[in-house]
Amino acid sequence: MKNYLFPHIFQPIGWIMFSLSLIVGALILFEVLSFIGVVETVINDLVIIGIVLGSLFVVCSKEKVEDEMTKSIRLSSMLNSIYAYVILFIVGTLIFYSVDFLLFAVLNFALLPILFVFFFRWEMHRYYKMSEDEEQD
Amino acid sequence: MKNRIKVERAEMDITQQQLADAVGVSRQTIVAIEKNRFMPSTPLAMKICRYFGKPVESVFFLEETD
Repeated sequence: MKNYLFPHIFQPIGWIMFSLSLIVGALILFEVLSFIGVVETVINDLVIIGIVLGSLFVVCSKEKVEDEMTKSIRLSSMLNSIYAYVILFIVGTLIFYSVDFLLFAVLNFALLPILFVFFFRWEMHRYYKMSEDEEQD
Repeated sequence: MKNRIKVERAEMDITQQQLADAVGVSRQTIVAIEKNRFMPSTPLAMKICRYFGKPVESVFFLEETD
């Protein structure tokens, strides 16, 4: 089965979009930043799109050397992030009620892509570190 | 599944990077295969064996648990 991946250059672009959107989103959430009117709507949309599209570029861009092992790591990270997402969703549903649940539901939209980025980059870090630990021979 | 890629490399006196370049994967992937942390696909296993000029059964071995 052939899967499409973005060129490697999309990875740094994705990191910039993802981290900027995450920071601005957190600042809005904790009421450090606030906007009004149309600007608020536009900024909210940009933050949501930035997190989702940025995470897609981070995990779905080719690595410098893309091979079957990086594909395998990407797939297993997706599976792990779905399991973690479901567990967190169930825990959140049981813990939060009324207004808190609404806030949890709003944050929930970005949870899966964030988990996917976390699991994939962590596994790739271990993958790159594995060969650093072993001397070139 | 175990393998004797490291031994074959030593006999041919080639590095992990040379083998990786020859079969079109990264050095990290060769390290992972040598350490039995990643099981290569059939085409990759065959490419590795073709590079060594050996049949697949003499480079890769099934274990009792496979």
